[in-house]
Order: sequence, then C-alpha cells, then structure tokens
Amino acid sequence: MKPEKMEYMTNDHFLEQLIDLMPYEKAPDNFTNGIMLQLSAGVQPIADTPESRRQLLWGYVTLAVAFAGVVLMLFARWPFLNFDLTLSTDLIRTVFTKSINLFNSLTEMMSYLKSSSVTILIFASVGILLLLERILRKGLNRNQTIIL
Amino acid sequence: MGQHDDMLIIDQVLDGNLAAYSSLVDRYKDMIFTLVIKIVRNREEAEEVAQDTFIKAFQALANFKQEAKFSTWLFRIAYNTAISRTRRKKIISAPIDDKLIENYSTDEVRQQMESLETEEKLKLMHQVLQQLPQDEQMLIELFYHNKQRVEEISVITGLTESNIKVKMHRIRKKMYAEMQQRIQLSPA
Repeated sequence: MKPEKMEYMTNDHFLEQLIDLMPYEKAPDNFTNGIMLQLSAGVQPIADTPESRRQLLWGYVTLAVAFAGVVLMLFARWPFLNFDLTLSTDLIRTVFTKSINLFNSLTEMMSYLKSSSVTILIFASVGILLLLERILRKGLNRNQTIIL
Repeated sequence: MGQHDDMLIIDQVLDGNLAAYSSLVDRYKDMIFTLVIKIVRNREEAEEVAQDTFIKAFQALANFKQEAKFSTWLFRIAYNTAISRTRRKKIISAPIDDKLIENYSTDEVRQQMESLETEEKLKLMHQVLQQLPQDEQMLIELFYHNKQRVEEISVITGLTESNIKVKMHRIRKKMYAEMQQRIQLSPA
C-alpha cells in the first residue's frame, strides 16, 4: 500500500483530542534528584568515537590472532595429530582420519595436557591476556581514555 | 522549549555542566514515565526503567547525533530498556474480540463520546487503553500523546513505517469497538 493512501489510517483527530485530554503519569517526586545524585556519584558520559571503536577492534583482532597462534601451536604439539601438512598428498582424508582420532583420544589429550607444563603456561597466558583486556576495557569506560 | 533548547542544554552538559542535565530530566520525565509504564505495567518497575533511561542517555550523550530529535532518541532508549525488562516475564493482556472490531459505526461512537462529560470521557478512554496490549498502548502513546511521527516511531521501535501504519489502523478500530461496547454497557 502506498504511504499517501495509508495516511488516513493513522490520522484521527477525534482520537487525538481524546488522548490529549489524558494527563501524563506523574514521575515520583524525587525522580530528578535521584538521577542527579547518581550522576554526581560518578557516572560519566562515554565517548564512543569511531577512533575508540577502531582501537577496540584492533585489540580484539590482536587477541584473536594470538589465540589462533596458541591453538596452532597446541595443534602441532598434540601427539595424536602429528601429521606433516607439507608432505601430505591427501589432506582431506588425513584431516578426517585425524579428527576421528581426536574424539578417540580425549583421555590421551587430557593426560597430555596435565603433564605438559608448556601447554598449561600457554593457556594461562591467554587467560591473563583476556583478563587484562577486560580490566583495560573497564578502565576505558570509566576514564574516557583510550588505553589499548 | 524545543529541539534547539535541548541541543543547547546537551552542549552545556558535554562541556561539564552536570546540573544542566536536570532540566532535560524535568522536561521529559513524565513523558518517559508514561511510556514505560504502558510497557512494564508496574509503577515501581517503571520508575527503575525511567531512571535507567536517563542514566543511559547521559552516558551516551556524546554520541547523540542531531539527525533525530532528542525526544525520539530518548524514547528509543526508554523503549529498548522497557522491552528488555518485559522479556523477562510474560504479561497477559485481555484480547478484544475480533468480531467486535468490524461491528461499530465511527460517527455513532464519536457522537456518543461527544455527549459525555470530560471526566467520563477520561475514565472511558483509560478503560479502553487498558484493554490494549502493551505494544499497542505504546504506539498510541507515541503517536497521539507524544506527537511522534510514523518515521520517528519506526526509529524508536524498529518496526517498518508500513507496519506501524497497519497496526495503528487496527488499533483505532479496536479502540472504537471497545468505546462503543463500553458506552452501550454504561448506564444512561
């Protein structure tokens, strides 16, 4: 339906007059004071500028790349997935076979993770990085400064 | 006080004059409160939602673009805040019988309404609006009470303009049907 043909559907001056008779609901007495108190207590405007958004995006991309790097490193170190990609002639079949091995070797993987201090170190590093990112973001929101 | 005055106040707030924000709150608090109470249907919760709305608006004030009216932007924040609250619980509203919607005469209802005293009209309109689901009450509030244009309601609610117009048409019919039914039931 064309907008001009639909105009009659919304305009109803009779209803408008009736509804105009109805008063607004009154907000509680100390409503404005309550808000101003909260604002005085430290709520600040957050400048969500394109620059800050770009910087946050870069932060996330960096973290994603770091995480992918860690996963690749782990992938290469898993004893049951030690295939050589460069020498493989039938990659899909190899990946498929090894993926089945992955499911079959969950116990083996867990015991490997338990005994591998390097792996734990890497996971801990990623965890700390993520934690740092969250703290930095909180600081960013509170202080309106770009830290990343 | 209009959009230009709103912008002057916003500039003052962004320049660090926190107290200036209270005049914006004073100006819009009743409108926001009326809108959110239509959605959440509970005074205490409406107060919380209205407060959240003004705090969120303050925090995001630097991002407010003058492409839209400040009121439209504020209504959008209020709408989203109220809707996210109501998603947590299911609210049952009494549906109006579809058969009744087609069975009324607009002119007759208007004449009957005109013959009522203002107090009676107010009481009846209040009852009629109470019969509508929250989203329909909210559309009526935005369009007729807060004088928001269909394009602006589209920005606030995320509904398409055509969808809003169709909904408004249906709501009007429901309201007339309900008005007629209540006038007939009321003692002469």
